[in-house]
Amino acid sequence: MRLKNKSELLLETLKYVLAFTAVAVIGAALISFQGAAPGEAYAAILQGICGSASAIGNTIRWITPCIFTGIAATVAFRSGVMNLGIEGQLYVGAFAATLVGLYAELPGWLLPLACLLAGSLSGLLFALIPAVIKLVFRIDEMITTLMLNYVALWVTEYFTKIVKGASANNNSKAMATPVIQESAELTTLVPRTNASTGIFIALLLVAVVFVIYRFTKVGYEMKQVGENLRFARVGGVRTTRMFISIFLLSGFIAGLCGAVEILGVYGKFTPSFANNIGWDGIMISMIAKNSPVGVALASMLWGALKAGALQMERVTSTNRLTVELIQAMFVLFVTIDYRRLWGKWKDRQPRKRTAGKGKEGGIC
Amino acid sequence: MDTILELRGVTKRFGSLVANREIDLTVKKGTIHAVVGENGAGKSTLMNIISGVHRLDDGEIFLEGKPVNFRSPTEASKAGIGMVHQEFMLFPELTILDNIMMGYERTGKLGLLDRRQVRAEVEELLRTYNFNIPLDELAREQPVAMLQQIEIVKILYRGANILIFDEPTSVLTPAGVEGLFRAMRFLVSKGKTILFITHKLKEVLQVADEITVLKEGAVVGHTTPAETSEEQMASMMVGRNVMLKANKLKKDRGRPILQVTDLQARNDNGIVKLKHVNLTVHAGEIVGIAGVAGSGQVELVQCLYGLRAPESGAILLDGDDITRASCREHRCKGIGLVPQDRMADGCNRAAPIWENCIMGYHIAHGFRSKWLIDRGEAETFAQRVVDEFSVKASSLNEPISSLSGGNVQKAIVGREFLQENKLLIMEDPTRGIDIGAIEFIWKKIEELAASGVAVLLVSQELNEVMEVSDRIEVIYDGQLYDGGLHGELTEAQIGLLMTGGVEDAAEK
Amino acid sequence: MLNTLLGTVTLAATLRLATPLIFAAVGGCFGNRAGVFNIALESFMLTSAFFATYGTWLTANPYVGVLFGILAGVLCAALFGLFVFHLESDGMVVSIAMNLGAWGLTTLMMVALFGVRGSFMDERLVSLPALHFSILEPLGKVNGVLNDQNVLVYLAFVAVAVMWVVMYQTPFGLRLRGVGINARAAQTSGVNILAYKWVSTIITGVFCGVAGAVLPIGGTSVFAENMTAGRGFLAVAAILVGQGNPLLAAASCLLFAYASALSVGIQNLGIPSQLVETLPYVATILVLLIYGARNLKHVSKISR
Repeated sequence: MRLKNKSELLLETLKYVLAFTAVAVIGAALISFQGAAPGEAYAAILQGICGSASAIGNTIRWITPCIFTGIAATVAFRSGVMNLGIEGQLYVGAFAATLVGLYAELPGWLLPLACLLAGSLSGLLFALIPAVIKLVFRIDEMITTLMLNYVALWVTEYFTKIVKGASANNNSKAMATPVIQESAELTTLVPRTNASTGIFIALLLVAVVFVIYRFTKVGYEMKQVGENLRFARVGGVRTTRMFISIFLLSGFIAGLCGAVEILGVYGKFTPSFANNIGWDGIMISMIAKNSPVGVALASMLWGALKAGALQMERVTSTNRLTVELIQAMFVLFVTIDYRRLWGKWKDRQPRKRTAGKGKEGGIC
Repeated sequence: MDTILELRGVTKRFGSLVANREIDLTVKKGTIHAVVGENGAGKSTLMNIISGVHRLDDGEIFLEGKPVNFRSPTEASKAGIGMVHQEFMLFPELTILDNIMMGYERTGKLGLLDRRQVRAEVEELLRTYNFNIPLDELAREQPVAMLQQIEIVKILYRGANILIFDEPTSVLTPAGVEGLFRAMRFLVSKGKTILFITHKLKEVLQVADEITVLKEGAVVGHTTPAETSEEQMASMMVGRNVMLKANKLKKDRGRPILQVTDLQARNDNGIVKLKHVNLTVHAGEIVGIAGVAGSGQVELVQCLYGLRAPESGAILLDGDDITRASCREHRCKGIGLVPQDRMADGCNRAAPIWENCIMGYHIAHGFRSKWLIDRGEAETFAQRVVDEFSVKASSLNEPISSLSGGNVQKAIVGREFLQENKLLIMEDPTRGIDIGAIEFIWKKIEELAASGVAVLLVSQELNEVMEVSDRIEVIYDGQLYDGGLHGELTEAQIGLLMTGGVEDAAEK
Repeated sequence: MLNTLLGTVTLAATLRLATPLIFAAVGGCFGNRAGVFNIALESFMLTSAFFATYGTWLTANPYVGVLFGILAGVLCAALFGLFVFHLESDGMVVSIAMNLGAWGLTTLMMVALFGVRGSFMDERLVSLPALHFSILEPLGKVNGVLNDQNVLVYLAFVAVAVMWVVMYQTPFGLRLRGVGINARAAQTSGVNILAYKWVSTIITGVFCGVAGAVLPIGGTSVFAENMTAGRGFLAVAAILVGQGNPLLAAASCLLFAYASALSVGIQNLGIPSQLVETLPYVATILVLLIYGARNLKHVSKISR
């Protein structure tokens, strides 16, 4: 996002400050509604974000998947691919990584690498289904990816049960695969926390995507395809190939995220472990307006809030879902198109009613 | 004759732009009153004010002597003013009957639609005004001329006494135009009043009773067909003495660049739109294709540019077979395209000017690196487009949507012209832009062809094809007919070819 | 096997399971036809399900619960409308944020009001009564399928018929479709686009409210975290398949519900429950594929 001038920068900043304040106030109301003191709860959140070394570790732990899914969403949405199946692709990737981590016998760093590859490639393959359906049957990928999320959820649970064998009971909360081999795990950054080297993979990803968008022809084409597909096609962009590649790339990143979650945090696959982290990614990319650097920044906020929420739940009687609700509201406030709103309001001031909204200088 | 509608000092502003400046206009009952002016002169805005779409900022409107101030199209419609918009205001997926009654339904028991009542009323109208419309078919299945009739019946059904026609002839065949004019005269003979907006001066002389000329949002003259001529009106419209004439340069016709043999293609609905098309365009030659919209031009361009796979036939570019090549290969082999719909296909309105200027160039002709985009190089090229095609832009980083239509088109044309193409395909390159920009683009086309590029110009403006082309082909019902060299046939003869009158034209 | 596929239990369950889908889809058709992009039906339903539970629990009266559900649905729709129509937000962003927010909100409220997580059962959580029609009794299997369902099951079919008439035989429906097909044309015909979009969204809210209420008090008498489990998305898929026509959308809902109903019987055949659970979603995709197969002839024309 290129900011044109100071007033625009001001408007952007103002927007975030406003949204943040509004959300903080509503959050305070929600917290007192649950019988806790808002000040105390907010202090707990802050403490959970950076109050100690382990708090920082936890914050890093939560930032990592936010970046991955945020980038997965950005890559797709920026080119107009409505991949709402990041959650499902993540599960498939996580499960594949777990399998390799459990059974593959590979020396040294080859094992984690194989796990990561297995995860991301499975995510990619799972994304291939809606992509092909779109191309062959012209069915909107939005609805198919939504449905496939549920399919992924249940199928991975089924396979978990198979891996676990006869002793598995049907309660998905208690069900999990065995723990993966220790050599498959990613290195822990902060002792006794789940912060792993996964964050470096995530940041590397941000950098790569940034460079692609900023400096390469492919990145240029990806942007044009998203903003005006017909223009791009006439201009000589291979749009079909582009669509497939972007869909697969998005699935690849989502699968990678699943793998990193397993290798860096959980160590074993538990059904429905991800708790909407895929959806968080979509919200993050929307806040970040599909810019990779923006995703990194928004993820920091998101991950920090997640880490803080857990601490808040531990210390006060407030449910951590409060934070999830607050995050949803934050998205609502931030994605209001203030500039257009402002324009509309200004138009209305001197005289009532002008031309229809969003029309460009049409005199004739 | 009585005055039915009078405007006094009507002014309309959009932001800092004054679209209409103190317009006075008197329309007499039972006349066809033409309002002429070039694109952007404020004709449509004025009509939108009269029909209640826009509200005026200053001035007064009197309808049959009484002051009125419409706040919505509905109010204007109740007062008896109806408008046939330039782009039809229809609902393709609904039946014609539903289209006509939309917003003005009749209800029976329980508030349900009484389609029988509406049908009776509409059929009465059809009889009175001599229209023949299949009311139960879907609007999307109708040809353009029929859509226009539906629009007219629609506003008659709403009880309009003053009918406003906004550029009604631009979508019609010469025969369709004749039919429309007959209908207009018939309506007037039945006591209706018509406001007719156009920029085609010939038509004004043909059909109007009174003429008002607009320029830059203000009235610059009032006349009648008996008192004026095309040249005189043109100089009033533009403020200087211009008639659109292309300045033909001397060119050497080179080797054949584009060779199309026996091309056959269907449209998306499986209907054959191109039948045995044979076409050759030589280096340094401008071939114009004239034809009524929907005769197969769209499919022809799509086939030539790799957007549609032909059923049979061959397309050769400089000897290379490109029949089934993709758009990208077309670009790389040196074919440029100025698409018809400049906002949908020609540019990305959200993107900055420089990004719009390098599309195609980034794969086919520019950038030393295979992977990277060199910003400096990109901006140099974009700057060349802006400079050499006098695009009025404050900065290359502005979004292209901040430019006027004419400047957007100049940027698109510039982008395609400055790449080293062997063949350039243009669809309606001057549609909806002001005369200055048209003259400019015509001049550039000439220069480009003179430099040895093959040019294929597809246009619905017959005048454009006749002025600019070195050789004319006419497309009718998916087939090409020889329209002679520049100036060989008259407009009437080509018009006849466009509507399938092959034998008659050939005799002359 | 045949007994599983066409047995009384399966068919009766189909009707029961289809009810929430049909309500949501029929309401959603109106928003869809008015050209409002809305995949927030999931959140409308979930919120309504919670408040229907709450209303029933407060009064021990399921009808009050339904009213609460409708009210919640309308409030959700109003929130959606406020952001999309007046604050210029993107429909998809608002939908996604609302879907996630509703999950958080209902779970939070469940903890705050009922003091439990996971699921909530209570003797005051009374389900809607089943209606018994004695004239159906001699009809054997038909009786078994149609009789003794709760009142909303029957109402769902009435709603389909009524809303079909509203959509295709009233000025309101005609104008609504007009807005969706060509908003500018509708405007020049004197139709207030914004008003129609609002009304259609509120209709969506009302019907999703009923749909949500069916879940906790349509027989099971339990509210569970994220109870809708994608039903709102299934409804969206049904609307897509039915192209906004309430009749066709309801028909696809029946199909999806049948897939869910089968799961009960199929489980007894030894197919793992997890795979059975995927049936409605897989069925939805399959229906979409069949629906999309008519596009196949164009495949060769996909641009390269």
